[in-house]
Order: sequence, then C-alpha cells, then structure tokens
Amino acid sequence: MKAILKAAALLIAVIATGAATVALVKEDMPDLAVPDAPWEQGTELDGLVYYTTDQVIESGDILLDEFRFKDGVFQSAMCQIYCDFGWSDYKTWQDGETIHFYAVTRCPDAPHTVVFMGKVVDGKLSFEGTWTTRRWYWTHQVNVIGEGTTTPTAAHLAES
Amino acid sequence: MTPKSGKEILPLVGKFFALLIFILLATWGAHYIRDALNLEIMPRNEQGVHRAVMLGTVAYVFLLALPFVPGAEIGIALLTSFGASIAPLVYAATVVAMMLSYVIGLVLPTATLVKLLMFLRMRQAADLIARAATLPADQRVGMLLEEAPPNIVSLVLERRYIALAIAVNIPGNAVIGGGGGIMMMAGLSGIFAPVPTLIAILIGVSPVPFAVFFFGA
Repeated sequence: MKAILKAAALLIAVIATGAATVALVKEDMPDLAVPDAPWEQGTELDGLVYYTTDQVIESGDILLDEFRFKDGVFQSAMCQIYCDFGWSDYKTWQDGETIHFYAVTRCPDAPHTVVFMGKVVDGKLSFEGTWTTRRWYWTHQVNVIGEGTTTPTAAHLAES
Repeated sequence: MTPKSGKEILPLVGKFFALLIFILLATWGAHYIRDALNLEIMPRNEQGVHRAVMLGTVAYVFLLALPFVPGAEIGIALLTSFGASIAPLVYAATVVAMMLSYVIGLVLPTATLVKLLMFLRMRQAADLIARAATLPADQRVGMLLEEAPPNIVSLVLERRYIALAIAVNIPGNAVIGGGGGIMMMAGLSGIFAPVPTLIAILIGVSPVPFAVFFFGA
C-alpha cells in the first residue's frame, strides 16, 4: 500500500511539474496594443451596425462580420456565433471627423480575447484586430484587418 | 585500422545520400499533409482543435506507456500538425507516459501485470513480463538485451541511466518493447531509483521536441 501511495505521489508530481513547465515555457503573444489617447466611454457609434469584410492575415481567409454598437457597448456577430461573447464596452476618441474606437471582448466559456481597434471616417469603418487564445499548453493568435459600412454587401445579404 | 578503399566508401556515401533524400522527402511530405489537412486554427474550429489535442494527448500518454504499442506516431503527428507551439506539451506528455510505465512496473506485482496485459489482449507484452518474472530483479533489464554483445550488456548495467536515456530514444526500440516496455522493465527490475530515472527520461526524450521547439516553424 505504501509503495502504491509513493508511486501515485511520484506520478502526480511528474504530471504537475510537466503541466507547470509547459505553462511556463509556452510563448505568450500580447493582444493588439491600444495606443494612448483620450479614450472615453463610447457613445458616438450607438445604434449603428457596420457590415465588415475581414481578412485573416495568417491564412488570407475572408470573413463576413457585423459590428453592432448600442448603448455604449459593442458586439461582433462572428464572435457571438463562435463563442457567445455577448456585449462589451467600447471606447472612442474623436479627431476632427474621425471617430477612433476600440473594444476588448472576452469569451465567457473559453480563453479567447479579441481586441478590435479602428476608425470611422465618412461612414466607412476600418479596423485591425487580434484574436488570442491562451490555453494552458499554448497561446494562439490570429490577426485580422477589415473594413465596412452600414450598408450590407450582396455577400452579407446572401449569408444572412 | 586499415583505411577504407574507394569501393567500401561508395556504398556508405550512397546510403548517406539516400538517408538525406529520405529526410527531405519526409519533411516535404509532412508539410504537404499539414497543408492538405488545412489545420489553420481559426475561431470557428479552435474549440474542436483544443478537444482533439487533449484527446490526442491522453491517448498518446496511455499508448506510449504500453509495451509494444507504437504510440510515438501520435506525438509525431501532433508535432507535424501544430509545429513548435505544441512541442512543450508533447515533451511533457512523453515524460509522463514513460514515468507512468515505470511506476506500473515498479508497483504492480508481475502476476497482476501479466493478467492486465492479457485482458488488454497484449499477448506479446504479457509474455515479456511473464518471462521477466522468472528472473531475479537485477537480471530483468539484461533480458531485453539477450541478443546484444556482452560488452553492450555490461555497459547497460554499469551506466544504466545513460543506457535508459538512449534506449527509449532509439528508433526501432519497438522490437524490444518500445519506450513503454523498456520503462516497465526498468520499474520491474528494481535497480532504477525514481529521481535519477526521471532525470534520465527528461534528458532522453528531449531531442525531438526540443529540436522542433527551437528550430521548428
């Protein structure tokens, strides 16, 4: 019995040390850096929906998304479908006619963090973003860029 | 030692280039399969990939820990599919599998182990353990080297931790039980202490995952 306990303790120690080592060794990737600016709680984009066409930098995949703004919060339709991200605060600052915005959204059920940062000029929204997943054994990141307007494209209409 | 003639060197050079071509083709093939499977991790499939990685890792640990079961292929498949980012996990899982096998050999009575392997329909592994059970503990590791020259056997027994680290890492060790069989036998023998064994395994299984981690894409 004593030998079994000793063996179990050894195995637990090996597994725990292995998991801790993996977690320490894995390379972290920072989320998209948001520059210093006079960011304030966003309201300027409330009530608007932007239909965006996005490109994943790593794979070249084209994705269709909807950015929804209301009552100071933001939602990406795609994030909502994939992981039920819900609504998140968005921040803005205005530079003449340009509205800069960013939003940090997190999936409640999985370790995904998505950062969207962009601007709206003359009704056209453009953005860049990172989608980062921090599992205990690796960190994975996808970079995305995109643009859109409040008018859905034929592709958006076909998809909806 | 007499210098080798041109006729003797030529086949060696031929073998070397054949090996080089094989490695290049294998590398190209691995990349081709990876591209064909389109294993780009995207928001839509990340959860599925995560589940597959966890399932694959658990299967890898248990299969690798079993004698005569070629579990290493799962680790290689993970490394091929996900590259450097998965290397720490594959390394840790390999160490856990080896230590699991060692602990099973260390703790379980041989009769129980034979019954367990028979239950799993692993006749070859059960035979190996049953044969080992008839020998004194300190002769069980040497049993794996029945066909080896005497100087190799004495080297293994004198420098047993170095030999263990090398043995679990040698391609083709499946013939004598694979990593799982070697480690189970090491546990059964009672001549391998846990901590030095762990250190030997930490070093022994490191080359492939470390190479992928530091030099892989």
